[in-house]
Amino acid sequence: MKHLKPLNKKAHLLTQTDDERAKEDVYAMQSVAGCTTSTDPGWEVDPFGSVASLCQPMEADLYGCSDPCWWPASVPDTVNTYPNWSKLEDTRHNWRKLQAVFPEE
Amino acid sequence: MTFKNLLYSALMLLLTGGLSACSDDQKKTAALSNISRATMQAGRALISDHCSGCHMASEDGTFSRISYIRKTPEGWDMSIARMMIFHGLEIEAQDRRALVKFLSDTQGLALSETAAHRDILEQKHNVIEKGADPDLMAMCARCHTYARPALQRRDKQEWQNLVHMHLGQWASIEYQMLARERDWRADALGPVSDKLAKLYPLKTAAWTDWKTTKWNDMAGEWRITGHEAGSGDFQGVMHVAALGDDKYQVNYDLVSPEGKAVTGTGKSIVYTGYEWRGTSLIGGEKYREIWAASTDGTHMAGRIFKKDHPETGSSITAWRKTPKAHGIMTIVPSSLRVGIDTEMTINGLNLSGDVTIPGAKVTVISASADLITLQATATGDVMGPVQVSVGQDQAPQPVALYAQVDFLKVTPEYGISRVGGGGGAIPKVMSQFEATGYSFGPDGLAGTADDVRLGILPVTWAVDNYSPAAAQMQDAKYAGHITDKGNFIPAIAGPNPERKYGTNNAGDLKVIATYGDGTRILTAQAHLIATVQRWNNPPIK
Repeated sequence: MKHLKPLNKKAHLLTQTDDERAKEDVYAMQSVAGCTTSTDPGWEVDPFGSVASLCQPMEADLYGCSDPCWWPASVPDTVNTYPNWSKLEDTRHNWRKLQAVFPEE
Repeated sequence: MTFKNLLYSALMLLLTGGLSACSDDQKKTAALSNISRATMQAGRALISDHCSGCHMASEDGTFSRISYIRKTPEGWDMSIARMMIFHGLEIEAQDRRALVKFLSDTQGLALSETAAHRDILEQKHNVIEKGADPDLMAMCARCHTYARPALQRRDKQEWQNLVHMHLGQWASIEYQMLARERDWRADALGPVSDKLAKLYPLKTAAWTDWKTTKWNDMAGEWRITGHEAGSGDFQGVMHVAALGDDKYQVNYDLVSPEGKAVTGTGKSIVYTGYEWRGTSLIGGEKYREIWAASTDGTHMAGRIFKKDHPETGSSITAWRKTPKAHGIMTIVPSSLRVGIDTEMTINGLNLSGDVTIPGAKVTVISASADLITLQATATGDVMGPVQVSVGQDQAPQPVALYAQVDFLKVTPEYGISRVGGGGGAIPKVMSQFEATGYSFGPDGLAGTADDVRLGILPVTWAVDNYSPAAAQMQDAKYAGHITDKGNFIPAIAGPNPERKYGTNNAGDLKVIATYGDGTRILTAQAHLIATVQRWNNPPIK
């Protein structure tokens, strides 16, 4: 590793820490999991029948669910159907403004 | 051809064309014995006014796409909602309601065509759909319930049109899991559309028979029994008065599981001659009702649930009260422990004669035509399920005589709740559990065919982490709590800064029921996924 230099702030921090557990967490985040084109958990249940591998908090990753309309039956897709649904600057803080979409009478 | 001849020819063409259309109209109206000519004309005018901008009208009175589909009332309402969302349809609420009514009556589903999927129609919460074709499940049920297509009827061309709509609207559909590893488009338009057209075709004998059968008037008095999950059984009477146009005014006189008198009022509308949809205010709580009447109009069954919490509700059965109708509806409780004096209620219609419970001493405390209260004591001479009778009427379900509770089961085995509230627009979704006691039966083993169901038992409830991963995240601490009636109340929505990664208050939990029987302690557990909210909440999920 001594010939490799970190290119960004996150990588630099990773080389500085002595906390092996924290390093493992960061490595785990690089692996393919969650809503990628390779593995698809459901909206409410992960591929293992649990919730531990869901993208959580889901508010931090909501665009990843609504933009590619990943779960269009659970989360409004913003590609075609509800283009304005999540036009919020930061759903981590503004998630309370998100509304249900089925037009009741 | 002179101008006069041309005018004459055009006039004759219009006249004969008009007469021809009129004649076809009359034939169709005559075949639909339950729909008046005026209603047909008004319904077609509504479609013409709101839909014909896109859906082409033909001379025979049909409209493109619309006239080649049959759906439930909820299905038609979702179609109109989809036109509002996708295509900017603007429609007044009263016209939307009228369209749903007209389309459900003229292009609905027969009762037998909805039977396999009424759980979803009734908005039951913890339902795992089983038994459907795996290819259709992979195609349809990876995003929404399988019931959603299974509660529609189309020919192959219309099923293919539905495929095209999905692909156009949700382009990612081809590269999601269960789609990208095959030629999704060819499969969807080919074998999947073939199967759907075979399983759920537009024209069926069931629908032809039902639409030409005289539909029933629901006005009258109805005897009601029901089960409120987590609370117990209730019973009473429902008074139904006709308001015209298949609408009804309803008054309820009920007795709660705790024995208290509860009154209420409501309004309902009946679609397709049997689909009862009601809104009611009972005991100060707003409810919705989704019931189905039997084809002879003498019975109704379905679910009543809280307007703001569809997951919280009761199963319900109603029998029409007539001088000749008689029978036992329910017996509460449905088991007797040997040697224990038990007060028992028999609910029914026009009950008369002696009460007989083989293997038990019976003392009638009070008796009316529709309700008998008695004290029963199992002697121990007979064990297991026995047939109860009142005069000539036999109970639809046996009563179980038993010495001890041998084991428990918690239902649902796999429940789901959702975070909500916390200042957001989506309410919490609770999950109600119940524990049922069983005896082993003659073979002395649990989980075999001779197990005897003893009924729902009072237990103490607890939740714990389901897995090591859940324990590490302390799911049981953050995801919510369970009440002493077995109702799991999830925690609030939103990121929780107290949790690792600020994760939501989701959790993977086990729900544990504990029953004390003397010195014996019995436990059983179920699996609960306490998960995130959903924002698409149509009536058919």
